[in-house]
Amino acid sequence: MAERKRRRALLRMGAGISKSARVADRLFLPVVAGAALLTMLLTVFHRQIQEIVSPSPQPSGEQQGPRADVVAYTVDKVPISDPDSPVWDNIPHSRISLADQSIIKPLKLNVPAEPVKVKAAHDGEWIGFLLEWPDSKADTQAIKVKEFRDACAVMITSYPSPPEARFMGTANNPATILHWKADWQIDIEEGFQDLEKAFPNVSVDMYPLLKESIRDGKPPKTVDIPEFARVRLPGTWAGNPVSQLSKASPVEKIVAKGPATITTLPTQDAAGWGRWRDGVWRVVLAKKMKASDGQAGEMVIERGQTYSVAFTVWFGDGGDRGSRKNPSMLHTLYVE
Amino acid sequence: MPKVYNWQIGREMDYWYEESRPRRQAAAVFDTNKCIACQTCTVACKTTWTSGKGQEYMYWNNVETKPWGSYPMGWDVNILKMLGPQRWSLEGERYVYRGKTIFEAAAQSERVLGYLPSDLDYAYPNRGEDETNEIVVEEKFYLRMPHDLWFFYLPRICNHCTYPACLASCPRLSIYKRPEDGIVLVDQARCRGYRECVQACPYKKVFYNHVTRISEKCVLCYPAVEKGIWPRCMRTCIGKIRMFGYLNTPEKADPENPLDFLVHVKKVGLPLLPQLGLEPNIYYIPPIHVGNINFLRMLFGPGVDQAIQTYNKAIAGRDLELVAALLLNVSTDRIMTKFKVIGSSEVAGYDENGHEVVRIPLKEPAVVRPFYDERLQVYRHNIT
Ligand code: SF4
Ligand code: SF4
Repeated sequence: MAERKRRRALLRMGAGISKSARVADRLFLPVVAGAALLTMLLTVFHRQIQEIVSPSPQPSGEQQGPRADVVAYTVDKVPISDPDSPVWDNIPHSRISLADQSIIKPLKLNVPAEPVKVKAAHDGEWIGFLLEWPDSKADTQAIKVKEFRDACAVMITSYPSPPEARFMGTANNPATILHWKADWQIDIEEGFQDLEKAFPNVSVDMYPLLKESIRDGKPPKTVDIPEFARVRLPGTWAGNPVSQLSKASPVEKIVAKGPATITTLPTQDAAGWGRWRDGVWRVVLAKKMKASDGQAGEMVIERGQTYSVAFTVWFGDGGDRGSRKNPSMLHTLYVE
Repeated sequence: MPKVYNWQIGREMDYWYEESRPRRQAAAVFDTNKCIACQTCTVACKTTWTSGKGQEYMYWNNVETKPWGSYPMGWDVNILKMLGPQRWSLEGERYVYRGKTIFEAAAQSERVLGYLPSDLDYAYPNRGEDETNEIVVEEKFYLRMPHDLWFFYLPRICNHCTYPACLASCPRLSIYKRPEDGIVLVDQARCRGYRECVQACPYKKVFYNHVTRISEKCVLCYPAVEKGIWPRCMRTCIGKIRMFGYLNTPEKADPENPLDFLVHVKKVGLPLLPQLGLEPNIYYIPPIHVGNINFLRMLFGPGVDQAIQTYNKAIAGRDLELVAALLLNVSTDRIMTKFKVIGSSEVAGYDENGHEVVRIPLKEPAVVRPFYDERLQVYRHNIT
């Protein structure tokens, strides 16, 4: 009797179990299906959702190829020294935010309100970037002690690369930097910006090596100083690229393997040009896709590849130079 | 920031790099009591190093009249004002600087406290020349030591500091201190003209070249120094105020080394603005006639009172060895690492190989001629 009771009880329990199992069975499929659908949707719209949560720069126009922060579109011919070329009009831009420089002292802590607009294009031979940023004043002179020039730069390194690569590359990820300088450009545009430009009333009685060159108390033009007397222009004499009287391009091609390592590459074949109009700088910086200084670590740029890039702006009137600058984060560049 | 020891302020301090003293440190002592502001040093340097286009305004060596002169204008008052009032304290036998150095007072975003002079600041190298501390009024103008009315000349070059602010400030590592002699140089091939060093050097002894657009500074005539010869500003000094050589740290002071003797043994050679924390290596014998001792303490630190006392003793003929060492100033253009008083009438200097490079009498022989010359039948104006 007791045995029967116990069995019945067991049976009831079993019945209870099977009843709740049936409920679970009914719910299982829809739940799994729902989760799978959600995962799928999340995957598909991942980037869009991310954009809503934390917007990142992206090309504003039509997208082709894998999504990257900046895309270098194929064009017939990159206008390597014309920021006003209509070719740029058809290329969508990316808005790249500029950050402070808070890693290497001296720091620059204030950040420009406006991002820099970046366009990129290539023609199989050249890759060019058009940078556009507001700057109320064009600072093109660096003659006086307190004068600093405007400048901007594009840094390209391999992808993926460690976050430290943002600070001018690393030992294993050398960065190629294209550095445009407003004073170099004006040296090309108007001729070497000499002492007299900043000090029109300068008068001298003699330079020991140039006794005959002084007329009416005025110094000779620096570009006319004969070779032997350039020993009195120490930087020029030592071959410092900053001190050269004639410049071929306003864009210097540099390799860097971390802070304080920037080195002018032996082949200076980068191109570019800047134009300041109505409070806006528009500057083209371009390099050959094949590396002429591959041995020294220059980046080769190939179609269909992704690279890491960063953009930097220096505001001369704010005393920016060297590490006092506004660099962007590391972004991806896709070369169509 | 790493901690380094600065003996001039008697304590450890913050510096951008670890302590790394050169194998030996080139240094000099300038006796301000003897400078006549002839500017021969200035011109010697100018014609040697800075006579190119773009360097017109540069004086790697300049001589300013204190208290009013300064080049670039206000270099000293500007940095002292930025630093604000600071304090030395006497701890046992020695003075310890308890204020902040320019490394310690720097803003969070900077390496060094400093500023960039403007072009106008460089435009008046002779400002205040020969001007007295107060307007000359007849009643005050009588001779008494120290003087109520005074000025003195302060010749200045780069101090080839043990802890150079210029070097610390350069994010590109374009400035280096040579391990063999402590000379501080700007690499002319590497500098990119950021002017961080111009901003950081409190003595304003790095200059921006208007034409090459990079920075330059005093090279302490290193090609000469490498050959055992004095820098040009030093060996041409008309007033014979300068002694050039190598200086040891106080605990390694060699009393036979003329520099160690003047700076560490006799303590008459004092650093310029030691409170800034750079451990500068050009030392000054303070002027003994200046009526405002606080002004001198501000410029040369708390050792001034004692230095003046010791120097006065030598003038009074009560310190033969010090007189001897001072007589070696600009007595030769060879770098001496030892000196010795010979008997009590001569002093000799020796180079690092032990060769005697100079020997001079402690008292110049003088001949007194009769006021009236019988043979020529004339009176003489100058009889010695
Ligand atoms: S005096 Fe100025 S320039 Fe000379 S080493 Fe010192 S900090 Fe550098
Ligand atoms: S050469 Fe000598 S005496 Fe003349 S100004 Fe220079 S330091 Fe003074």
